[in-house]
Amino acid sequence: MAVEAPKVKKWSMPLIIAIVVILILAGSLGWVLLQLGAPAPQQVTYPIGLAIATSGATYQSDGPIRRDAAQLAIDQMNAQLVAAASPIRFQGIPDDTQGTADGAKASFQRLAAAGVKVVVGPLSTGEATAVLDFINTNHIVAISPSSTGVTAAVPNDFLFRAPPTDIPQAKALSQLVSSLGYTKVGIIYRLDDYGRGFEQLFEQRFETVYGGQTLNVSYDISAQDLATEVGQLSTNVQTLGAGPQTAVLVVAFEGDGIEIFNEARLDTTLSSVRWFGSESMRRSAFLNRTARPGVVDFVLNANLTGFFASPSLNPISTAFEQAYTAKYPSRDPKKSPYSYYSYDSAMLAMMGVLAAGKYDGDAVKAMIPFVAQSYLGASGSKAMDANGDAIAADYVAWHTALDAMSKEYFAEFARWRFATETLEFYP
Amino acid sequence: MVDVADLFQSVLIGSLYALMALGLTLTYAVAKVPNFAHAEYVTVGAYTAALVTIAFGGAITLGGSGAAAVIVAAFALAFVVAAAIALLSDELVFRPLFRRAATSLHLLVASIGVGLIVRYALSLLVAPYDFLVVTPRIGKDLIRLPGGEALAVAGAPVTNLLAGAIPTTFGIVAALYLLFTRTRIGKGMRAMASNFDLARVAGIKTTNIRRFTWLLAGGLAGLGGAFWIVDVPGTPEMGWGILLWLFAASILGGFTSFWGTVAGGFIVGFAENLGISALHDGFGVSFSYRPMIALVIIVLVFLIRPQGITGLTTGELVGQIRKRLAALRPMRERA
Amino acid sequence: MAVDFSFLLPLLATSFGIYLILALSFNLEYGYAGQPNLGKVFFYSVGAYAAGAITTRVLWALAGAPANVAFMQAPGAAIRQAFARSNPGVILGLFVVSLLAAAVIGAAVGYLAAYPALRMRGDFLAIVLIAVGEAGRVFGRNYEPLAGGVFGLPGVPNPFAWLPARADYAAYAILVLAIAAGMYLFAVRLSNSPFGRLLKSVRDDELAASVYGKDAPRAKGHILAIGSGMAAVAGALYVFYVQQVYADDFIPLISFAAVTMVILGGVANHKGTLVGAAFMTLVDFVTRPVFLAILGINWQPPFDLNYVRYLVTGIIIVLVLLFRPKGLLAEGPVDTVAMRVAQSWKTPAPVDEPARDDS
Repeated sequence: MAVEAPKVKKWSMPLIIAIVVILILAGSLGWVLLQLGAPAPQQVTYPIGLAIATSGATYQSDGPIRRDAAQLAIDQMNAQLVAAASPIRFQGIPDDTQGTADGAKASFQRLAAAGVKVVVGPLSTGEATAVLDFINTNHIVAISPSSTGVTAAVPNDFLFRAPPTDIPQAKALSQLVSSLGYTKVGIIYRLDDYGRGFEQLFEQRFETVYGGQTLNVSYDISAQDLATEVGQLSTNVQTLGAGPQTAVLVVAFEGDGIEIFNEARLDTTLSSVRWFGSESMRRSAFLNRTARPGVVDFVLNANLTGFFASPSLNPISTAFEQAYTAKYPSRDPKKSPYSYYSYDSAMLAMMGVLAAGKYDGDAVKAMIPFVAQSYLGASGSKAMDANGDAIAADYVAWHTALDAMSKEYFAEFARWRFATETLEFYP
Repeated sequence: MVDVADLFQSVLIGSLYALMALGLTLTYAVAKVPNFAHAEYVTVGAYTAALVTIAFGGAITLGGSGAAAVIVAAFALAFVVAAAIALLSDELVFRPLFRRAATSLHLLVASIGVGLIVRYALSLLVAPYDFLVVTPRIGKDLIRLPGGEALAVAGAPVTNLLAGAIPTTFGIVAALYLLFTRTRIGKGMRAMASNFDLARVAGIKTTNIRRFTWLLAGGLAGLGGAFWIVDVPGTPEMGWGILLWLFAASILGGFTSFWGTVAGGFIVGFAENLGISALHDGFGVSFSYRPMIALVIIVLVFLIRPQGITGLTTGELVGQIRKRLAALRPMRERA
Repeated sequence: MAVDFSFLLPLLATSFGIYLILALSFNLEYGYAGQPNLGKVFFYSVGAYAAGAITTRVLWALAGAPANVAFMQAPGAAIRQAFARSNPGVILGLFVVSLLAAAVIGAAVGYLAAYPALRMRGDFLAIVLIAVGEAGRVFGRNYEPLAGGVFGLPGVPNPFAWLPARADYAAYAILVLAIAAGMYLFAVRLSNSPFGRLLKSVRDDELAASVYGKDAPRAKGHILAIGSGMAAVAGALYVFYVQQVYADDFIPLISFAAVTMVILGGVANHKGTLVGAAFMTLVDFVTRPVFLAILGINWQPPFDLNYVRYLVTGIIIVLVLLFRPKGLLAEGPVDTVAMRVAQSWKTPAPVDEPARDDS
């Protein structure tokens, strides 16, 4: 009887190695062919990295809006360059940082591997501090559209930030709250670097300079149902004394903001006080009557008030909003206040490259403050301070109101001058 | 502050968790799949309900029977669509793996893959329409009594959500109890849960019962999701955010006990609301520690009683307490 | 478009190395001992916190601890970085100390985790450990003195920060690969040692193992300690790479990624873990728009590529499991000297032997 030959295992190690090697060779061959088929040499494409988080609890809804706003800027610039018969083009390369320090670091490294030297991002301050050393040692310019924490304010580095830090906003808001006659504020804020940072600045300013009193409640950002926290807020307001001198300050984003308003409107105490909000509360989602009339009524009734960087009559803001809606028909840039900053960050990045005349980190870094000095963007003036953070913090105060056609909108009623730290109410 | 409103909130959240976790226990007990994609059935159900109310938003604002019909349709469709997705995931992924004798952990990893697919397919569908954060056209509201006042019990308001979710949950629990004890399918499910091979040998049509289980599990999750989205704004990540809590509820029920899961859901709901309130008032613990409280409770329950709270009777509880008290008696007394 | 390998290779290598260590530790705990430690990220974070705390505080003290600069913010981080740049010996020494401390602390915490592990069934243990991991993360977010809470604790310098710009990341990547290779050899030797066979017997039939007089609980405790120590070392390596301690980095997804690598690669087969880790690292990179950009493709699809990326990852996981349920490489026999000698005694089977004709 013949003995059968030993069967060869289907997935033996040599076979696996062979497959991997073949894949690598095929990939390299494909790459070489693509390079040969590359566009004519006189056109040069500069990549702009978009290290913007688009997943994860915090940024899954805001991130895509900011990324798309930056991409819009790139498309507009490319259209102009085509019209100018310029050989230069820009290419946006998005990479999801997932909102973590690890993700941001890896994202920047990947972009650096692709030869990117100018990046729009990262979004949060925690991510910004994580990549700071990397971009400084490797001479990569990063313009963050939404990092506002003071912990990343460092002079003469490669990180620029389109929004000012939250310091002037906290000053403006505490001054406004006090001048409107409130001495006691119940604060509810999201526990992340933005919420905690802003709350600390406001509380410190409001208590030391204006002698006010605060009681605060924070919530974990992964918690979806916030009824208990809002209940505690109500208790805090009652403890402070629910009267004409007591107000509420909310520091939240879209999802948690809607949830807080939804719970608060069922509470008699919270429905009878004035509400203030950080800049992140200026969202069209809170005024969307078709989607959530209850929230809209509550917000109007509470006279939600806050600051924003740029007046709505800024023609560039309006142009940006229209261009965004034209490119992404069923989407609304006003859902995220930082979409404006994102657009401006991308514009600054590209103008820095064009002004420097070469795609080099050091050159762009040198040009950006100069370019920003005279740039008026969708989010206002982008002149920067020594730390590379936007400095022109002439904030505009808004509150929710109905216009002549009974449509809700954010009405502007005052201006806070950064230079003199004074509030000017519109007549 | 700890008050009656916290109690109501605990009951509401507890019943929703119980509703959503029941399906998880079902699929684990009957089909032996620890299903991380269960959360996505919740999300799918939530989105279905929300989108139905948005599509027929006009009828809802008009009120009356038209609105009621839309609401019923929304919840029913949430059940159906989530059940369909659950069945699909079983037919395409879990059952083939089960037939190849995949271990528990293999099924778990596969369910992670399925979860990713469902979640991001949903994201792709809704992102272009600005539905990454979505609220349905029906909202949580106070119930107005004929006199115009809001219905309140012991000073805490009762919302329409509370009034709707609690009876629904208890109704479903009762229906499931009848299903498991009075119907052939239910008894078949129990048989499969306790000994799969023996059930097959006994002639029980395991494939059909398995399919029914998945439909039921998915449907329950979807229904829970529909209630959930009335409470909180919906995002594609909403299910994934509470997955750990659903597992906590199931696991407190030992993954096999249906009553245990219900009780588990309430334990988690109470820990998250009344629990954190009490800790805040008593020890100044910030509310942002809220997720940690529920998780610590899970860990503690398991350290004390590794099989969860299944089969816990008052007799046994008293016996356990007696035993521990006895252990504390000083040694010399026992000489 | 050109690709800058001096950035790409260190990134892929470091990520691969760290995940390989995590996956190996999971393979040892689950593949060989049957303990599904799905809370791996918790032990990972313990190592990261330990390494971060030691390094930042010692550097700060050595740098003079200037009182008017914030310890936990970017200016403080810059001071620590500058000090590390000018004192290679200090930072390398701190690196070694942190790694050792992480290993010891991780092992100790892992040993403590054995207590619930002994009393619970595998699936329960898995979920409870995930809960422990998440509880740790929530605590880290809230309790600022630990690691800066939501702000994070920056300024944990790369041990090779004193090298010029790209050489530091390259050198660190090589070091991580070396440590991962060491861990790999350690895991292989451990699995083929008597202790490894004890683990397998406990995994396959704990009752039988006890009948033979083997102390199953002690074995489980030991393997959890070893696995957790390895995970903690991975965490320390990670924190020196990201150069920041950030509580929100320690998400359950890290545990699931390690588990997926082991399952896809092949349980109880360290070569399989290697293949699984390499495969997932590659998949993660290849599904990003950056990869397309590197290939020179400038494609703006009408849908969001980021979602497709996750979708594709999910499909890949499901497909691999459906077609290779045991993973890419199956569990092989124990590889010891005795076994090799025994195999060499086997005469090769003849292929075509003519039928014996005794007539």
